[in-house]
Parts: sequence; structure tokens; C-alpha cells
Amino acid sequence: MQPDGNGKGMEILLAEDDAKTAAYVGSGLTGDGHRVEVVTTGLDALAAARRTTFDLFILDRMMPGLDGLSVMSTLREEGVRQPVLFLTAMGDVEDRVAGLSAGGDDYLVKPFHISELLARVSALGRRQRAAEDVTRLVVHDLELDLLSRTATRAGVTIELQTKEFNLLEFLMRNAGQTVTRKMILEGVWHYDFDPKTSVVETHMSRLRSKIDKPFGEPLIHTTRNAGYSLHGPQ
Amino acid sequence: MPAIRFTDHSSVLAGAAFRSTLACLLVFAVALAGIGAIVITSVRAAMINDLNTQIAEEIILFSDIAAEEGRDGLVSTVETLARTNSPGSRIVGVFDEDGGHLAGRLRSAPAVMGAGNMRLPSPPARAGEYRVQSAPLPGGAILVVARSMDHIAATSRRLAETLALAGLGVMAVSVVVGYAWSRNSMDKLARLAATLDEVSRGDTAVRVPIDPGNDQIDRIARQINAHLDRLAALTETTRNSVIAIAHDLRTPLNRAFLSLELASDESRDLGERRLALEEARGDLQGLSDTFDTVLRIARIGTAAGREALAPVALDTLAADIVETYAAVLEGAGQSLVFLPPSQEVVVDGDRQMLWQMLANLVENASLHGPEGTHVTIRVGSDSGEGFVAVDDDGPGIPPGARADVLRPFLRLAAPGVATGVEASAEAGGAGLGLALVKAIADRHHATLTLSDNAPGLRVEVRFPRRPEARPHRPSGPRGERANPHGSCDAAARLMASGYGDGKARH
Repeated sequence: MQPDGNGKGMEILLAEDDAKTAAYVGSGLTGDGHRVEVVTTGLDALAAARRTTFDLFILDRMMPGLDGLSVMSTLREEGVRQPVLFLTAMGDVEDRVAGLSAGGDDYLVKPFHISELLARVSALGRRQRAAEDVTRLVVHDLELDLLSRTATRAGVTIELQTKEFNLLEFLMRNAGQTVTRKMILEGVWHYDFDPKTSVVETHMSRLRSKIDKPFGEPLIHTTRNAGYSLHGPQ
Repeated sequence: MPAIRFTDHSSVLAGAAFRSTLACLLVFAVALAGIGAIVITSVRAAMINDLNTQIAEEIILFSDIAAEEGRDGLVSTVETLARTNSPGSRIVGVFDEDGGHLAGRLRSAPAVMGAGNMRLPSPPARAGEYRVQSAPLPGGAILVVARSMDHIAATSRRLAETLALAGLGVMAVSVVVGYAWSRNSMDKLARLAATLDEVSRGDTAVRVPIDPGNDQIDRIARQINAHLDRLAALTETTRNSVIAIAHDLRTPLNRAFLSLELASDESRDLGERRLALEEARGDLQGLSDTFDTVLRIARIGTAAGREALAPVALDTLAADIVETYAAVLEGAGQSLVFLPPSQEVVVDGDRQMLWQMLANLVENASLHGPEGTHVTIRVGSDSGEGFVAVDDDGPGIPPGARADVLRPFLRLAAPGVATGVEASAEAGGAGLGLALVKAIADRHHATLTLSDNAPGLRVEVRFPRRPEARPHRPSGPRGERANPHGSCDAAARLMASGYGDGKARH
């Protein structure tokens, strides 16, 4: 089964030594259309990675023997470029930075919602990602000019505050993809903590009132489990 | 001072004080020997000088006699003198040109002409050295005068003995005194070590006993006691925190248990059970968030110094916060306003942490205040010390409780909760908010002050003055735009702030 480049139907290696977590994650991934191979140690992970080509790696940071970070370093040294997502109980900022700067692509702290994991797995799996230096983002009739910091829909200019603009940019860069509240907090606000108030919801509703309400077709959709997705009519 | 003796002799003798004493004594001994030698030599030389003078005077006397009374007169004078003088100390001899004996107890002429030290045959001489001088007299006779040097030798010996005895005496006393001092120091050090040993075993109440003296060891002992006081306070705080944390985590844990009990009760209807599961999940999520915050606070506390602080523009940061939260508070029927400073205020800090701190303060003000609460963020600079303050006109905190509120987990009974706030937010972490603020403030060496806003609460964080004016270069998103600063109005700043510095963090 070939992955379709849209973050669906991937071949995933899951390295997790806790049986319950492995079962939970494994069944979640399979239910979302992916194929999963589960190993319980770092060495087994390396062996599996050398045997099979995977589209994505989900590695527990703490495993007996070789830990997740070392597994990833070894994989990278051997030329494996596919994305790596860390699962971990170590949720401190420093651990997160360490994991990401060592070459990891995403970092998810336990306990987590399976929907959070699935959204991030899909996001990582997408091959067609807007390049960093792109200057314009277009979804349906919505255009975002990143140089002049202006947004227009159906030719009409929309006044956006800075944070609203950043949020819209984030949604458009992940167009068609489910982004969770946590992903938005990390990507737009660089929060690594959970605010006690409804920061994301408030800004999302303001954005909607500017981007969607005046125009017929809504572009911003709420998916179940408090995720959002921006896409044109399908 | 305790009656127990801690030290044994070998350790005293090995002690630094004793070793110094021995070294000093060695120097003293060498010096004494040197000086003693010099003294004895010069005394001896002086005495010999005296002797020579006396001999010279005698020779003159006899010369005069020889000149006035001739050889016979000389001979009879010498014979008379020889009979009356004390034997041995002074011997005189007169000889003719050929060395033949003419008068005096000295029978044979010594082979020297002039002066010299020599032994003379006994009798008539005593044992010992004589100072001998021979001189020609008018009339042709040769006079030889010999004087005993016994007294010089005796004096030299006496001097040497006295010096040696005195030296030994001083050294003996020094050794004793040195031992006593060394013993005293060792005792003090041993007491210090014993106290610290007890502390490491867990007794935080014990302190080092202080002597009335003020030597170096006493001063160090006082410092150690001050450190032990601080250690005791820290341990106390930690113990209390752990108790408070455990106590407070019980509540959501218990609620979760009850919810799960309900959910597994098959006699209940499905809707109720689903709701109970949802509530259990919420409580456990809150618990998890609390754990994370506690960990965060602990980590912040130990991070001081490890990561360098970078310049952060407080005014930009505050403007960012207001842009994020103004809408949120409006949704809750409250308001958030920013009072900017007249110019840029830069402090050394960790932008991420400072953001979280301000976010916490704003959220707390919103959550604890009813609908209609007004929250203000002020940024300014006071004689080089940057500050940021979050003021609200909500219920405030009574003065007596202000110190307590900074401790983790203490919660005050809030009169009402702002509408529009997620239920789960209240469950987790609300009691920790200010503790986290305090931890972040401490990390930045900033002072946190809670005061009355009459009505409401005023929270001010005041940063220390920056050591040297490191240039702050504000960067826009991806570094493309130069942020206007200085005399810009707040609105322009709001639009221009973008991501601000520190985007590269994640």
C-alpha cells in the first residue's frame, strides 16, 4: 500500500515498551488507515528499520537498552530521512528542545489524546508542504500575502490583527489537514503549556467572523475532538 | 564547649598549627645559634683587646723602671713582684740579649717575638692559654709578659651555656604552647565536622557551637551556621510543598475514582455513565496538568544560571499578551488594557518563561474576577529597573493571605468564576498559578509584589537593573522587518510585533 502523500495509509514503526500504550496507539493508527509494526526495544527498532522502509517512526523516548533519542540519531546517521515523532512522559521544555534539536520532527507528551497523535501523524506524513520561503498562500478564494501581511477573500481585503493573521497562516500552511488545539498553541503561540482560558477558541471564532461569516462558503471547519481544519469545498 | 575530647595526639601533632610552631622553632634555633656565635666572638675579641691593653701598660711600666733604675733595678722589681703576685694568672720574665734568664718566674723565653697566644710550661704556669707579649726594654733586656686567658674561655663558655639553656627553654615552652593551640584548633574543626555530619544525616536543627574568640575558624563556623539556617528554611519549604501537593492532588484523584465507580455501575443509564467517564477524564487531565506545572516550577528553580538570559523587550511582550488575551477576556465580559511605557523597556530574561508568567497573571485575574472585571497591564522603568504590573479591580487578596498565595496549592475561596471559561481549566493548576509566577520571577532575580489595587489586586514584577546596556535588536517574523521602537504609539507596536524575538525556540 503506497502512502498517498496526504498523510494517510502510511507504513509506521512504533517503538513502545509499555504494552497498554502500544495497544492504544497501534489500534488508533490502524483505525485511521495506517499499517503499524510494533517493537518494544530500541535495538528491535533499528533492526526493523533496516529490514523495512517506513514512512514514519513513532519512538518512545525511554526504552530499555537503547533509548528513542539514540535510535533516531542512529537512523539519521544511516541516512533515514523519514519523520520521527517522540512519545514521552518527559514533558519538560528542555527535553522537548533536546528531542527536536536532535532531529526529531514532533514531540508528544503522555498522556495524550489519540486524536492528537493521529492529527500529528497525518501532518508529518504530508509530503506536499508549503515551502518555508513561499510568499503567498492560496486556498480556494482566500489569499494570504506574507510579504505585505494582507488577507483577501474573493478580492475583498480583510483586516486582521497580528495573532489572527498568524493563526490563519498556520491553518493555510496545513490546509486540508486537521490541526489540534495543542498544535495551534505550539505553532502560533509557541506555548508549551496549556492556558487555562480559551485562547485558541476565542481567536478562532474571531477569525471565522472575519473570514467565513461575510462570505458564503465556510473555510474553517471544526473536526471532532476540538481540532480544526481549513479547506475549500470538497 | 563540650567536655568530650575529639582529637587524639597524633592528629594534633600532624596539625597545621603544630607544624607551624615546629618550623618557627627551627628558624629560631638557627637564628639563635648564629647570633650566639657572633656575640661570643665579639665578647671574646673585646676581652682579648682589654688584655692586650693591660699587657701594653705593664710593658710601659717596666720600660720606665728599666730606663730609670737600670737592669738591676728592673731585676729586683720583677723578683719582688713575682713573690707577691697570685701565681699563674700573670707571669713575667726578663731575659738578656742571648735569652738567658735574668728575673721573673718565667724561666725560658718563648720562641716568639711580639705577641701571641700559647701554652706555657707548668709550673709556673697553669693549664690553659696565655696571652704572651715580648718587648725589648731600654738597656737591652727583653721583657716577656704573659697573662692567663682562662677568664676569657670561662666567659665564652658561660655565655654559650646561658644562650643554649635560654634557647632550649623558649623552644620547650613554644612546643607546649603550640601543641595547646593546635589541639584547640583541631577540636574546633572536629566539632565543625561532627555538626555537618549530623546535618547530612538529616538533623537540620543542629548548629556549630561558636567560641567567643574570633579567629578564622570561628568566623567560618558563623558562616556555616548562617548557611545551615538557610538550608533548614529550604528543607522546611520543600517538606511543606510536598505535603501540600499530595494533599491537593487527592481531590481530583478521589473525584476520578468516584466517577469511575459510577461509570462501572451497570444499574445506571448509559448517558450518566458516559458523563461520569468524561468527568473522570477531565479530573485526571487536570491532575496531569498539575503534575506538569509542579515539575515546571521545580525545574525553573534549579535552572538558575544554567541558561543565559537574553534581552527581552517587556513592552513588546506585554503588547503581545494583550493581543492574545484581550479577545478572551472580552468573551468573558471583562476587559484587558495595556498601558505602555514612554520608551522601550528591556530586561534580561527568558522570553518563553516571561510570556508564561504574564499569561498566568492575566488568566488568574480573569478567572478570579467576576463579569465586568477590568484588567490592566503596565510596563515601565524606574531608575533603570524595568517592571511589569498586572492590575485588576476584582476581589483582590486580603493582606494577610498575600504571602500564602505564593505558596503552591493554597487556594482562596473565590466569590465567583468568570463566565465563558472551560470547566477543566478550573480543575487543574489554578492553585499553582502564582507559585509558578513566583518561580519565574525568582529565576529572573526579580521581586514580586502583591498589593491592594483598591479595589482588586496589583501584581508587580520588578527586574534588576541590567549590568551593561547590551544592544537589543528586535526582529520581526523571519527577521524580515525592522520593528519600530522608541516613540511609536501602542497601536503600531501591536501590528508590528509579530512573533517577536525568540521564535527559533521550537
